[in-house]
Amino acid sequence: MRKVIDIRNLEFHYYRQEKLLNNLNLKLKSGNIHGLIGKNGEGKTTLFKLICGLIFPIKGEIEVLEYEPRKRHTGMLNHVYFLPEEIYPTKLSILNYERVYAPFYPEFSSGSFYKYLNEFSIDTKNTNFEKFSYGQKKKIMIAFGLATNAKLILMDEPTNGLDIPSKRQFRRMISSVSNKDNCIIISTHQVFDLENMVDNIIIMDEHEIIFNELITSITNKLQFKVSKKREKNDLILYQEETAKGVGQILENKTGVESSLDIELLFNALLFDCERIKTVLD
Amino acid sequence: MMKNKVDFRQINLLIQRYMFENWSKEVLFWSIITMFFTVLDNRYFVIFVLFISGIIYSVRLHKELMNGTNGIHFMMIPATQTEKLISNIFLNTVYHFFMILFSYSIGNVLVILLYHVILKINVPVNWDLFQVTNNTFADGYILVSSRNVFWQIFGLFAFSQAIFTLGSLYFKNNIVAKTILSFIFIGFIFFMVQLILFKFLWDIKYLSNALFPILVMINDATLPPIVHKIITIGSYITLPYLWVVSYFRLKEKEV
Repeated sequence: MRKVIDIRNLEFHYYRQEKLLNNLNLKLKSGNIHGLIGKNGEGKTTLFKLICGLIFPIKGEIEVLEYEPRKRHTGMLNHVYFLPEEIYPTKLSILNYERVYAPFYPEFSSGSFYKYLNEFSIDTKNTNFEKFSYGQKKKIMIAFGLATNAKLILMDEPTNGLDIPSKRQFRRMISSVSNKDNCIIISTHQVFDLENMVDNIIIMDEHEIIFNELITSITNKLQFKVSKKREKNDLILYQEETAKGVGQILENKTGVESSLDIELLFNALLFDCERIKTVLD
Repeated sequence: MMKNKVDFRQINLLIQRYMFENWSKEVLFWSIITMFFTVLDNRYFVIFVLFISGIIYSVRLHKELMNGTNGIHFMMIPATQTEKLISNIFLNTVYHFFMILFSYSIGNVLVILLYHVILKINVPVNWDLFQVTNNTFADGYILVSSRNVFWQIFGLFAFSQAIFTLGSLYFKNNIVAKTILSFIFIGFIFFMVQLILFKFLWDIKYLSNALFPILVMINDATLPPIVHKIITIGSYITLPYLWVVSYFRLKEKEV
């Protein structure tokens, strides 16, 4: 597995504004799908922009695919695809969009592009982009991004605007695209969209990355369960009322893996991060 | 690690990209310009349209490419900053200049055809866009001399476009006004420097009232020869200098 992102002691703030990212460290290798979660305004989009070289750090170093992003080297841009939350307002048809932008990506696969569009039920005839709905435009951009076969794919709120079947297709596509050579990072508020798709969770709080763990490691060491009422037990690390009952995170002493509840984990980490991390370490 | 060299194929792709993305705007814009030239084919009017439409084109091009979602999209295109800048310079300088000439030619031919078909009048084709005629009176005779100013106009146009390219890379809003104000401000500083040089260094009593008297007085024999050399070299390097500054500005541009 190859080192894709290496961020060391990163600090960033916008002009005349408070610090947005503080002493941020992150190392990511290829072969994983990462879910980036955090409250609004924590700096998830800013972090993506810094990784892409769209904005520059105040302090610290960033290395992406062995390039310094601020230099916007073609070698890096060839292998990085960033899907922002807001869609680029192009007027091209799908055919022309591919004709214009695909040549910039040396590993672009036209076959995959149309396969993904087909999976998303997008009519690929020579239709103007403007005639598609927001969700459809997003699907086209997702399909294009995945077809670039980029080594680093960054998606900011990709499931916004997607209907329920499309979200399922999106999860399936992402899983099928992921391989040992690429690294996919998905930033979202909708934690349910990440379940059964990502294999690593990155959580941001107070402008730092407070948690970065593989799901297998989490479910090995932590147990997630729903109880009818609050319990007192030394193994319980966190519990909260949910619609289904009382969601609990316990130290996993049984060795039996439970299914991860990302929302519960996120809330637990915001409540007492150190306790959870001690168990995981 | 790959070298970040300039690839003309990439420049071509960037130009193609612009054309594909903006063909409807292009058709509309050049149709309006052609209609202007059908109605008015006065030489000074054509030059005026060239410069004004050039400013609009340059500012629009950069505003569309550099801000918000468009900016993210443009910056993420896998091409070097040099390739991106060259493609933009090509579009707003070379392409724009020749499209003006093309529209002018079409407009000119159209008006002649209309005169011929409707009024049955034969009007000569007006191709002397860059031909300047000077009348000199000497010994009771009028000497008529004519010279071609194509390269001078193209150079001035390229300079104007380079100024507004740089302005649109520096400023986010009110690009035209801010660029003009900055240009006047820099011009004023340059003017003051000239005054100081003339007064204290060369003790020259006469001064043209132009903003850049040094340029007006280039042929003045009282100026030291070094000034002639500086002006000549300066006139050649100003344009590339503006492009280089634009390149560094683009490199440092954050979106």
